[in-house]
Amino acid sequence: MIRLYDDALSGNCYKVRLLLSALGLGYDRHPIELYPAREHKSDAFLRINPLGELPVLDVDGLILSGSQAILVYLAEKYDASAQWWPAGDPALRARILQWLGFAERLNATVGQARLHEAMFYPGDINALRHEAHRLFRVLDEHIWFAEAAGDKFLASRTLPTVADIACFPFVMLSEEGGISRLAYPAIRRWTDRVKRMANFVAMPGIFDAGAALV
Amino acid sequence: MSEASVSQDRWFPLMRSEELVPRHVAQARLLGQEIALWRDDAGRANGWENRCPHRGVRLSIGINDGLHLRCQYHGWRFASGSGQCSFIPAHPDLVPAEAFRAHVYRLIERDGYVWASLGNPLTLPSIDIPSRWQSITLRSIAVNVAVRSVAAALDSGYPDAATVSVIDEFTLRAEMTGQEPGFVLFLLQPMSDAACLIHALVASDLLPGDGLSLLRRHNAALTALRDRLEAEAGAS
Repeated sequence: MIRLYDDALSGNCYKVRLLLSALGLGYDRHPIELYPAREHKSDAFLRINPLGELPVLDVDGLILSGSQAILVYLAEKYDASAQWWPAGDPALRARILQWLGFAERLNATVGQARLHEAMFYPGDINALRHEAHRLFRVLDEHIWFAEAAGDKFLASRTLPTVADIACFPFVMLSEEGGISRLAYPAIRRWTDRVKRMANFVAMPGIFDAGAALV
Repeated sequence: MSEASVSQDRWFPLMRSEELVPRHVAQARLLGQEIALWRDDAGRANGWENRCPHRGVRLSIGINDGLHLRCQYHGWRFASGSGQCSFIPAHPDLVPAEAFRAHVYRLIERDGYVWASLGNPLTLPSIDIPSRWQSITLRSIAVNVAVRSVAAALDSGYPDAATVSVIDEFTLRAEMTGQEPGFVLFLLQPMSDAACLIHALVASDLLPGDGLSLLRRHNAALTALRDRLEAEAGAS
């Protein structure tokens, strides 16, 4: 049985829900309230994850934390098509891992700016926003040239991978941290493509894109 | 330059036409005005004030269904072309009043760009490219400095340019030597008093078959210019 320790407002938990949905996996949702209850810092939860962070995945007693690691585990274990974490192409896997690292940077900047604004976390909001815009410029340029080469997603030509799932939430939630995406038209187009993945699910603050033109 | 001192009665490019893809809503800013840009399924581009006339929510988070832009908040639908509200989900039998209408800006597509005007321009935008030459539009680059600073920097030189001339305060032309003899036309879009977007196109009788290296080369030159100007202004 798969159990997800989850908060509806957590972007990192949302990544896992996105992939679970894409893979068609049922799971038990165990709510851990980040704010205001701070249940992720409770003694009971610290025994599950000593880092005091969400998400945590429990698969038949195997306890995993770290959203990027969870994505890779779920894709490797349950995705028979190997779309989400493709095998047999070292360069492709390395590119995906680069984007998983980029997702950590988004979490540390956009994610922290959002927590600062919405949940009163400490932090230098101007520095967080400045670094977030620097990352968005890198991302927008990458996607623009990917589109020019005919690619639709961050790491692969036609199909999304865990790279897209890992980067998507904190890109989409950036406005909640006061980080506009107005100057990033290629990022905006890519987020529509992610929203149109099969079995896409939304979360508070993230909306559907509507149907694509067929 | 302040926003108020710029004539409203002229055209500014907002986006490369091919980047305004179907079933998408783009977000632009011109002279401080936010604009929701979207293309209907017949190919018509719309540029509306980025504000739902119902509750003021940004229309750029709405849904382009191919015929209408649907506000994300209460689902009001606004028709392509007129901006007229055609359907209110909470009152499905009501014919929406004429006053329920998105504010529509003048928009035109020419020479590879979507152009907008906040006023009433008398002429059409046009780019003169010699017949038999080809042109390619570059990636547009946003810079967090005033348009005047960008124009001054371009006027003082551009890589592989023999000369740069100022056509008007928002338009410059570089005569190019090097790999693609011809010219680069810079079209500056004032986003606000403190930010502008550099649109640019390369026109030449000798364009490479695969334009990707050309695009990357100019992208590198323009982002270097952006980084230098923002560092000088302390705005980066």
